Amino acid sequence: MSTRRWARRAVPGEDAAPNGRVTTPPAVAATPTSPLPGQGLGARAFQPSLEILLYAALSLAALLSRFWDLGSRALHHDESLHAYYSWIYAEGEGYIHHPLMHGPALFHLDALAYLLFGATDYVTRVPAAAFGVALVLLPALLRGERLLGRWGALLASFLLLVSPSILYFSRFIRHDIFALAGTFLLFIAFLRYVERPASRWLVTGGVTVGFMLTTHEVTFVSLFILATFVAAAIAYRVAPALFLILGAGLVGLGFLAAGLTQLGVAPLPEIPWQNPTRGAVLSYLLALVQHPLVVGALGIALLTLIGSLWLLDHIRDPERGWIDGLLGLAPPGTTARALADALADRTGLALGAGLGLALFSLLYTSLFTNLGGLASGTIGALGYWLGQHGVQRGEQPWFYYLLLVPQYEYLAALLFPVGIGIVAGQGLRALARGQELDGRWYTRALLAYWGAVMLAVLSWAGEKMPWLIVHITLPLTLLAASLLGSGAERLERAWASWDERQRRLSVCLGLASLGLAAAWFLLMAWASAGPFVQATTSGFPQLVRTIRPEIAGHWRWLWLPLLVLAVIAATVAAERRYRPHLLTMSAALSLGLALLQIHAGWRLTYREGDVPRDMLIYVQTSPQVVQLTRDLEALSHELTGGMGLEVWYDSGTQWPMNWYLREFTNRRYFGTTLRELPDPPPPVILYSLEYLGNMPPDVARELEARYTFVEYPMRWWFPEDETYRRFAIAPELKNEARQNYQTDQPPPYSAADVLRSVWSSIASLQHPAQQAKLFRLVAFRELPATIGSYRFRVYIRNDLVPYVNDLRYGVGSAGAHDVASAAAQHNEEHRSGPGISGTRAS
Amino acid sequence: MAQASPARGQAEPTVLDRRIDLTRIDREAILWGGLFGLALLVRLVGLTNYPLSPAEAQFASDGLALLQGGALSSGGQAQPLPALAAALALFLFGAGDGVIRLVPLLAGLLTLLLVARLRPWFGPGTVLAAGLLVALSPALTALSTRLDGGSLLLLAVVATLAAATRFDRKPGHGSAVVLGVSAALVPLAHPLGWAVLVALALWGLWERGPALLRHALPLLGGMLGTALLTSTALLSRPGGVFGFLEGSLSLLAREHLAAPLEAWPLPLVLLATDELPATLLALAALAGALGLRIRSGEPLPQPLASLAAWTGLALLAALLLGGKGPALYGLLALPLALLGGVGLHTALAAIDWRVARSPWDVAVTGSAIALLLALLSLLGRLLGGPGGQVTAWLAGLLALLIIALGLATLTAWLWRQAARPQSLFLTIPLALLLALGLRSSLLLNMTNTVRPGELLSAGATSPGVRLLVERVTRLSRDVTTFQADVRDPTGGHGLVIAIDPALEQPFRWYFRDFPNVQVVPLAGAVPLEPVPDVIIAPAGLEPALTATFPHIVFRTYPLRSGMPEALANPDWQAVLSAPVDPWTVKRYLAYLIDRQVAEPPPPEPFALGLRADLAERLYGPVIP
Repeated sequence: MSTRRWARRAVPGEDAAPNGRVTTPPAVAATPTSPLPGQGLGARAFQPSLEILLYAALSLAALLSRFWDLGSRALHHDESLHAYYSWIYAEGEGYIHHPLMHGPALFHLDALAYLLFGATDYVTRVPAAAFGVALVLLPALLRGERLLGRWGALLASFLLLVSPSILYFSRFIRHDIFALAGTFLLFIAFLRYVERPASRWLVTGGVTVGFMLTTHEVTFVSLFILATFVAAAIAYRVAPALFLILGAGLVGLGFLAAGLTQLGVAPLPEIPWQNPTRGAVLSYLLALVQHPLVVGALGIALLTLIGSLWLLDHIRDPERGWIDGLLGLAPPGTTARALADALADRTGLALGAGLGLALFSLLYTSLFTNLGGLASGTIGALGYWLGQHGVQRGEQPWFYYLLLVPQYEYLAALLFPVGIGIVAGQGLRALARGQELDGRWYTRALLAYWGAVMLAVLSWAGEKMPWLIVHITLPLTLLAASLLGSGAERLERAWASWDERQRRLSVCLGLASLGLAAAWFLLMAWASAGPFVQATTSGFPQLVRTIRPEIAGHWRWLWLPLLVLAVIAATVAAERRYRPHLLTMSAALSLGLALLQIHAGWRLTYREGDVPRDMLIYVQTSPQVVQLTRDLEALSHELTGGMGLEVWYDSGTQWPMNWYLREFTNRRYFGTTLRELPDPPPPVILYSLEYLGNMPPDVARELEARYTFVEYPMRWWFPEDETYRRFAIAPELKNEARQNYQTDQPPPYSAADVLRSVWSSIASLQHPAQQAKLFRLVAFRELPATIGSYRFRVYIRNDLVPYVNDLRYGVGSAGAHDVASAAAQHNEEHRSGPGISGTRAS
Repeated sequence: MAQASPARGQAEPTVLDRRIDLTRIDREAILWGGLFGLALLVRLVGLTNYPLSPAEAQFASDGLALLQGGALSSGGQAQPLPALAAALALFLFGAGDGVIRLVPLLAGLLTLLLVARLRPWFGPGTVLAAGLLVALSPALTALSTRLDGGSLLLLAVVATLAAATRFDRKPGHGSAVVLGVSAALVPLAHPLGWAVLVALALWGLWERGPALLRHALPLLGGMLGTALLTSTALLSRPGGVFGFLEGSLSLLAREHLAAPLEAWPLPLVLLATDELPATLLALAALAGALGLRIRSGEPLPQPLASLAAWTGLALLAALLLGGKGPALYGLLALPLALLGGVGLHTALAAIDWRVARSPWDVAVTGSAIALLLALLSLLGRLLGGPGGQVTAWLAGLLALLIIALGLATLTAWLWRQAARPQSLFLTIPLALLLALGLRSSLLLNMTNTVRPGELLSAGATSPGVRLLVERVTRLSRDVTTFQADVRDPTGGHGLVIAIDPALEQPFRWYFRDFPNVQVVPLAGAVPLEPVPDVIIAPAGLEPALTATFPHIVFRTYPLRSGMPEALANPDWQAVLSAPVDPWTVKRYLAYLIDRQVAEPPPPEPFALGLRADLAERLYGPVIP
């Protein structure tokens, strides 16, 4: 019975012989190329393949793009926290883990970087950049034909290289890039182990999990995704009926929750994340285990478990153990077999787990100086961030990532639904026909599942931040690369079979596709570049850009290039012998989208990385802060000969000023209130507008009399309210004022209201003005509103104002030159007459 | 069991499997690789030292307008190819001076690549030598580091020649279309391209008339299609084709044809200074070829004759046409470099390199170089005169004399020991010429105002302009930090800036983020609304503007470097007496090294006016 069942079922990741017997898949050549005959390894090094050369070029590009000009962007608030506490650690003052700032890996890496290279803004981001480079090159480990394929892996590296979000956050010292690289490596280890079990992948997996747990709590989501995928794959192989039992359990849980709500039972107790004292935590745990929902859920879970065990016991081979009896009969290349092999490989498991645990312990205990870190790193971290779910910091709506991802990751966003469709379609067809699917389907299924669940979980989570986008971007990008890689393979085969005329036709179609897309872009840019007019928006007069008057009645003609493109594509598709040319057209359009990503990513990363014209930039420190720091350093050098300038700053400017003023030996933090000024007063005072009113009147008067101030933005942010928040109603937000930016309808809102709001936004795009606004927002980051800012004042003592002006504007009162005197001086220096050789150029 | 998709257990060989045997890389390929590296280095050094010139800034503004849907200037319509190329660069990398100059830089490198494609005509050695001269040519370096359409014009010319080579070898519809496309790019790049296109067409009809006429349809189709797509920016600006034809032709007439023989000595100055190495090598090639012809009675070899004719025509055009600038110089420098490549290759071929293995021959060459340097120093000291320190001068003279005598004795002795001492001597002038070319190209962008006599930098925007712009920008950021609207959502660009049309560029480009920039004629000195905070005007308007805007504090600053009078109007008497006047020779050599002139030209100034409180911040409380 079991053999027949193995043969009948469509099994992802394995191959079957024509008679239905499952066979071991042929060994996959890691590198299906061979050097010239008679050549050894040494000679092979001088005969690199084109693939190796392309990876070398990608490596170089990754290094340059991640490390170039790393320090010029102002440090974000979170970055300054991480930099400062890492610096404190490097200075020998220790580090104690707190869940608020996530895992300890970042702090250890940054502290190490400071020890090696000194503490600067550039060095602060070096660890992130290094992991960013590694991320770009990791797809090479998935080159196998049953994984991404060689073209797919190459394209994955390229797409990760030019991904705007991954590029930007590879140069951003937060935990996400470390967690992301670890997650990717873990999934690689999993796929490679399933493909061909080897201890090294077990060990890699173990160490990687240990590392991931020291980075960011999104790791728990990644582990959940992997665990549920593995469980589903195994359940499908071993006992599909398990899905019914689990489904029944979930339905039961749903009924229980609904029933208890109807009965008016209080919700679950709140996690005491703000002040997790021992007593508070114990009270919480007691209340939790006594809650009817928890008790009921435990009961349902127990019933589900008993039912599952009964089923498994019923189907397993009774003459073999549980593991062998259930999993051991699975053919190689399957998840079940991989799990059986892993459980049998005790050495690999022990080594992986041991090393992972060692890394976890080493970092959470701050190199064994804080044993309490073991508790805060496990229960503390998870509890804290589960508690944050209710806080909804940032108050971002459910559709946040649905709007954020397509603005930057064009290829990944476009191909994600295509990928899901292909995976689902192939899977269902194979299931219906009893056919088998290959390893590449399995890889795509994992990527699609990973992307979908990550998107769902992060969209559900209370705290949504732009840097979390990378955790969605990665699986979507890999899936896109897999699809494009298959397309590249097919195109390569077709190209080899074409004659000269067909190749020329293909190139022309590709160029025409790109040209038509570019023509549409230029037309839209022109048509949407109308004049700015005064209008009243929400009761306020405001400048609004309109479309060009001459195009007003003819807007639909702008879509003509895309229509022509569609007609060409349809014509090519209709004729069977020309159909392969669609591959070239797709390749050309993919290249166009990649160029669009470069357009978005370059400006975002290298030009305006600290100016929130982008939705990806969230409450960013302004570049004026960096300029101010440079001016203060120069002033300090002039006045004190070192870093002895006395600078006072308040609570509102504490971050990032704790970092930027770290070398100023006479810096002084005075909290929220400046109670008095000493005599002589300090040269420079930084005071946020938030706390300015706290000053006693006499101090305020003295400040006014003895100082001159200039006001700057400390942090500034993207105008959310006037842009994406209007997309749909977000009834899940606790703050009712932020639920509905579309209509005047008061809360509460139903699901139908939400759907109506979504439809309203989509339908509004039929209006040319809306199309123009959206186009200019995405293409040029042309904002329909000004950005908001948190301001602070820089008070300069009056006697120092000329110095500061001189430093700031570079021209002192004594240094003003006019042309005449400059020319005369220049002529005098460079005059050459007979017999005089003149001044030699240096 | 049917398979839903084929099992991919076995990998098929793909293009990724192709191996490149690094141990068998062609020596010629390595040399070309080195040439590209050299060309890139020479062009990258100091790429953004100079601010954009008005012409560059106009293309930059046009590129931005094309990308973001704004209106193009007449200059952008007249030269659509540079505007489109600028738009592509801005699209990918954002707005910046370096990004704008990426276009000519890449065009220059591509030109070098296409020169390599001329191997079938001239032979690999000659083309390699020509490539070296192209890489080191100051005129071509200037062209590759300024976006004025010249670099794209040269690229189009060389591309047309390469396409013509391909058409010649394999005439067909495909190669005719490619030829048409590249030919169309010539006038699209620069108005001078019309003249070049006519010359190319005449040459093509003369050489391969029947073949071209047979493929006239695809050829013209390629040309017209390219012209249409480029001038209309892929049909997004339908009126562009008329703007191109009208603008380009009127620009050609106005700037180049309307003032014949304008500043005609300048191309000759270029040949005698910046392009001296290529000039001498080209003359050597011609002299050698003519000498051979006289001895053998055979005609000049075809490629050499064509190159000589091309160079001669280019020189004639450079002398006759007005609007002297890098584009015109580049059209002369390219064939000159190709012709010079013939001379360089011939000279290198004449050297018996095996002699370099003999230590005596190497030693006599080294000794001769040292002797030459000593003699030059001695001559320089003699011509320099004592300068009030007779004793020191005499002591120095004596020392140099002793050194020279010693070196002469050593050289004579080594001469007797060496096998073929004269063989390597040719390397000395070649090395000096190439070193001169390298130095001239490197220093072109690296140093700026310390070389006031540099012909190729004449008319360049003063480096101080960008510094002033940065200061005004910083001032604006401090004074109008929170003055924001949708045109300037970040705030900080709230100053009202009035610019006179004569100085619209490059200031319009540098103040592109300021929404309140107005380009208004200031000559009438009438009050403006809104009242400007900053005024930029020609220096001559300062007195009138001071009266009209009493709240504005004016100062003058350098705007553009001038053309040295010694170059624009050479002292022909001194030039003609140069062979016999050592002081003239000395001044000439000093000019070659340092570009120093007797009367450095004063820079063209402009007036910058600032509102009084802004001026106080910038200049301090005491305002003269």
